[in-house]
Amino acid sequence: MASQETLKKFNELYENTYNDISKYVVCNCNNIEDVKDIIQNIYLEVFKSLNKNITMNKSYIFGIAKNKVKDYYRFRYKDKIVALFSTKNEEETIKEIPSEIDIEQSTIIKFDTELVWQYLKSKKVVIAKIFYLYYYLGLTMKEIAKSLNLTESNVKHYLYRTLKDLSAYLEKGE
Amino acid sequence: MSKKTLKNIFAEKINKKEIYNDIINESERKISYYKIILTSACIIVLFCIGFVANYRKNVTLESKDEIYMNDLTPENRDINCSLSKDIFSSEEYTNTTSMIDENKTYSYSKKDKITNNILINISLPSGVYLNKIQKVENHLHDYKDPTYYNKLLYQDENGFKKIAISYSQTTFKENNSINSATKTSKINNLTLAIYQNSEIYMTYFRFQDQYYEVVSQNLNEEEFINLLKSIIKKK
Repeated sequence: MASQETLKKFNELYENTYNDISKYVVCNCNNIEDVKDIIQNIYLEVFKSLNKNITMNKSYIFGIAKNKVKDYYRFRYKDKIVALFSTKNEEETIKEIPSEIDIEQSTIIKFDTELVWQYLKSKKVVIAKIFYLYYYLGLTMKEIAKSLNLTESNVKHYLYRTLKDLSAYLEKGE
Repeated sequence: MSKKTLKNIFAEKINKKEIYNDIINESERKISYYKIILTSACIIVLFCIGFVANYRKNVTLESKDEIYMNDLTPENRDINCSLSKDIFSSEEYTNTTSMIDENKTYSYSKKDKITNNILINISLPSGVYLNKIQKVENHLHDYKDPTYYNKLLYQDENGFKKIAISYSQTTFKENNSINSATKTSKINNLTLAIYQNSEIYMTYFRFQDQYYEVVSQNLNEEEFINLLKSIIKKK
């Protein structure tokens, strides 16, 4: 059993670093579904290190995260999610994207969590990443673009197109 | 609403609290795995140590047997045997013999249980060799090799492990027909009851937690006592 002191330290670290670590993992994973497992592996390692009385800080945890992401995919089949839509007219569509994206207001009225999740998983992995960073972590498009090595317009395009497709998908599902 | 909804979807699928709980559970489970593995390893190690100790004990016993058996080769066995009698008669000894006291308690007791069942090295007079050492026999009566010295470890009907030494041309069964002891002898503070029937001498005794049965034929009293002295030596 872990001591109360270790548990307290761990809780503190977990709360302080979770968002940054999850952002790092999301940006570097090959599949959005792996994020949970990788984060769990990282924090298990952190917990183990705390039990050995190793002094922890954010950079140390990032070091662990880097190794764990590598380890996770080292012996594992890398699932590549194939895009279902064409990206031929990206340039044209990017121009049409309004600066304020509020399309989700009209698209997802009646939602199904599982349906949306499955849909996002079936798309390119970068789309799920963008969604996570944009909606869950609340990053700006600029920040997302920087984190994923994309242009801002690309990020916009992915968001816009996916939400549009998602809307059609959900309507069809009904 | 929908922004919140999408946030909720991710919050549900990559749940911070769920991950936290999994980590805590996993770490505790790993610790208990270590405990189980450690306990199992300890049990296996102890079992192995016991097994090895037992094995080594058996190997030691067998190697002792081997040494005795190598003492006598078939070619010189007859010569050694004939030599032995001359050596007995030439040796000097200072034993005392007297008539048996029926009320006296002798050192041999069948009720005593012994745990030491290893054949011990009995030093015999020089020139006298053991013919062979046999492993535990169930029936002493069936054992017959009357020509030479024999030493065997056997188990009697009460389960006692005994060393029997024979210098006799008769079987132990035949010698068992002698029912009453005729004399006692005191060698190194050990009082022995000696059974005699014409030229056959027999005795039973316990020395250093080991039971002995000694029988001889064609040895006179002095030679028989000398043989006993060679067995009963102070360490």
